[in-house]
Amino acid sequence: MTLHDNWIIIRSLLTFGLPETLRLVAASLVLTLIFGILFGTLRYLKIPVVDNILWLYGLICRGIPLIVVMFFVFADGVGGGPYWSAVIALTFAEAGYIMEIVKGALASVDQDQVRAGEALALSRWFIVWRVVAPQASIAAMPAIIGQLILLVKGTAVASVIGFTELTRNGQELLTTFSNAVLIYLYVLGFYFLLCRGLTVFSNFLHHKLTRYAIGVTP
Amino acid sequence: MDFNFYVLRDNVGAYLSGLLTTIEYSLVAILLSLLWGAAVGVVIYSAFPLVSRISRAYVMLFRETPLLVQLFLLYYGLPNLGIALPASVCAAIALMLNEGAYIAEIVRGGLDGIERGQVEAAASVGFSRTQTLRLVLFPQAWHSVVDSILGMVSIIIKDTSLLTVITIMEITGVAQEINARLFEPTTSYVVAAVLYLLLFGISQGVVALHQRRRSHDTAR
Repeated sequence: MTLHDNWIIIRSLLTFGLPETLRLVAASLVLTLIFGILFGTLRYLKIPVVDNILWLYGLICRGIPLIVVMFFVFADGVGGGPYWSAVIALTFAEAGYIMEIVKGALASVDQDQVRAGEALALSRWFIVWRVVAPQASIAAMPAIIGQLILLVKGTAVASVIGFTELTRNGQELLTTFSNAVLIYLYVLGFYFLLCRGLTVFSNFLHHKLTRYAIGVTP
Repeated sequence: MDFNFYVLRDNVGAYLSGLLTTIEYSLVAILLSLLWGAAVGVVIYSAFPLVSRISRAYVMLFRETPLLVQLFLLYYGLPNLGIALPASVCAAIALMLNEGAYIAEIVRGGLDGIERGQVEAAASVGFSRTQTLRLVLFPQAWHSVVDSILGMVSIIIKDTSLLTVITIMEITGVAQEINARLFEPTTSYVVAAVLYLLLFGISQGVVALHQRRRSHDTAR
């Protein structure tokens, strides 16, 4: 392999695989957050039957591997093409975790504040969204970014249903360049940069939020 | 989108062998990653000059990249360097290195949680380094990390599903093969999902059992 071949591989991953991975992460992230926060809030409110159904969903989420969900959604044609199948599978598998994080964070806020809100005759949703949620979001942020990192790594599984993101892009490059070690090391490098970046950002955010929460103005 | 019972009836044997394969790889992975993770965790904790730094880099690299690509690198990449390992060995190594990195981080956290004064105290009564580790640090660290380690068990079981991409016929591989043969996606994957849930239920049962025993211990 010449130096030029290396350049071709990097360029292909950078201009093709990486944007597709990011496209997958973006759509799944938005949907995961919407469902996760909604379900988490519902579980926090402990609405009788809904709570049991969501508990079961959380159990299924934690028990079934992403790749099985991916195959199931794709082979059943629920999502149509590979892209939406992957988005649906990732959302299904990750929203359960976000649900648990959100529920835990909401419950971690001092519940006397809820009673104080009730004493002021504030509505239930107002208490949740304007009193509890702002404090809970600070507590939940590091865990949610941790989940986002798992989501980024999870997108690699979309390669098994034929969606050309970073991993699949690497596999396809194998037909032209036979050096599998080098290609997969480049692919790993891209994932590492993405995830490492998120970890560093998470640490930074955690630092800032803690300072904000304890009232230290920078 | 129908559940057809004949698919399950005709393939009970295949699913059972897949289940056994999953259990086999899970057990191997749990054992290897525990030993490896504990060793790496201790090395990072002990802060040996160069080795700790390398171990830290290893943990970071394996935690921030997908297991799937690590499997590909070992299985399809190593033959390029003249090292052709069978799929089963690649699977064991990849799981050991990947899950071991997480366990190393857990173990290091557990050891860091113990105050350094105890290490000094042990040294002052003449304990060697290994004695300090074995008699002072490990028993306490074990107590604080055991929940996280048990949590890793269900993650490891789930992660073995990725082994299907390197031709190992565990539950997911079997389901895929059955679907390819009969084109019954709903049934073949739902059965696989149920089998995984069964394993998950067992691992959760072990966790619950352990927690109950522990609450008895502290109550006494």
